[in-house]
Amino acid sequence: MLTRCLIAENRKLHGSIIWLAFFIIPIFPAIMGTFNYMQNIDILKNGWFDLWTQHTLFYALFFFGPIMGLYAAYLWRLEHLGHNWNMILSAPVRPIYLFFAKFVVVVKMAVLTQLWVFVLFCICGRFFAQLPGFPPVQILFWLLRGVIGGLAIIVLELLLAMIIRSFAAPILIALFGGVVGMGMTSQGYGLLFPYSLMLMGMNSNRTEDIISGQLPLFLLSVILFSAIFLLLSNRFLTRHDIHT
Amino acid sequence: MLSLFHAELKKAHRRHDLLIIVMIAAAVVILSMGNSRNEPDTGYSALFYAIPIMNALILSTGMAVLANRIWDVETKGNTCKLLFTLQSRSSLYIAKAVLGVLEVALVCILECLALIAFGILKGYTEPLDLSRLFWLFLCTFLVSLLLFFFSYALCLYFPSQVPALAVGLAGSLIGLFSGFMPKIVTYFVPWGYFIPLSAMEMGWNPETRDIWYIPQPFPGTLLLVSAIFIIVLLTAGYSLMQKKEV
Repeated sequence: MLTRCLIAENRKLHGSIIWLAFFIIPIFPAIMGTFNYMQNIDILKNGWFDLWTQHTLFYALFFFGPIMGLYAAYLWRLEHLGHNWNMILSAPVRPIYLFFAKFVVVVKMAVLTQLWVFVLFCICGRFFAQLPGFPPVQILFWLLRGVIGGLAIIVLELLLAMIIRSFAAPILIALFGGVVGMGMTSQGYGLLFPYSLMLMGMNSNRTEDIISGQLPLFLLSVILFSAIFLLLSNRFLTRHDIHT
Repeated sequence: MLSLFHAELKKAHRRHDLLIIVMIAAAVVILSMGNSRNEPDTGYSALFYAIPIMNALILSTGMAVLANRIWDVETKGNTCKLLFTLQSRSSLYIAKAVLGVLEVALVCILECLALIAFGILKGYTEPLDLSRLFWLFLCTFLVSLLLFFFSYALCLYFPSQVPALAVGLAGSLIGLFSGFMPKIVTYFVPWGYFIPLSAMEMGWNPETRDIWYIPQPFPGTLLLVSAIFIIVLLTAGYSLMQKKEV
């Protein structure tokens, strides 16, 4: 049944306008980052690592969360319209499967977004910043860690988009979360706030590893936050009346 | 007209728009205060410089969210067909526009009040220049209105709510980016108008790392351009509403 839910959720993205946002939004931090890097090339001496800090600073701080919010809100939006809530909840599927299928699809989108960010990073590094060779493998690891850190944001955004029947509100909450997350990270409390985890995973604006030696704690934090939000979602779907 | 505006207020009941407004203003204020130098003798000047930059980052998305929420009630409820038989299209457009203007004004007022409160809290010794505070309010209000009416027009044009928000997000990035470009470029990027309309500029010495703030002359021309943009977008939105298929 979960497989069928996954197929249905994937189908909702076919020919969707969301792909336009997926392609266009990451281009701007790439242009900004490369421009900043080239303006400060005299003081930035760490090559690919410095370009990485410039590329991911604004993306990880302010835009990863809202983009995930956009994906999540889009998937739940379809259920909030008309009488679709009645339809999906009367389907012979456990309610949490509906949520989990959306989670898997948004994670897929997050991975694709990260890959697109990496492709843009490589293109900008090679052709505009004229950096030698290829990006260090560590950057791929940071990208993967960014996705892992982003899991908590994705579950939270899906939960918000499910409860709040507005398309825009989860996106604004993610933007606000990014602002607070930046403050929490700079104060050293990043592991205690879901919106900080992606920022820490991506190692944005730092050339040294921000969570070096704290990886188990980082993973524990992601698992804990994700589990809490998943349980809350299950509770909402099974205990609450749905108003359509 | 008042009754139609009252109807819009009723639609906003339980929509928690006030919470959204507070969140937008708070995001700008937190970022500005966290990123400005809190030295008592230049505190207000630092805020006059920092707030427009953070406005460029946050308000583009924020205005898209406000416009989206105001129009979304009709999209979600599929109510246009019914409403257009009960009231004129223009009255619906104007009532929503008025609500939007008030919400935008509230965001700007909250920002200014937060600036004053922060200055008192931090014990700034620099006297607060009220004319520059009014300038900050006026410029933030006009550029935010420009962005709001642009998002409102996008909401009316596209059946999906995604484009308005995606453009808002992209606009935040472009707006901020334009702030780091040569001044001439900023005039072509309305999302970043907050920055050239700023009351203060910052100068710094890279060797001594000293920072100082330079009061700017009132940017009347750019403010006029913003006002013209608002009128154009308001008219475009009005026209879109008149031609909207239901």
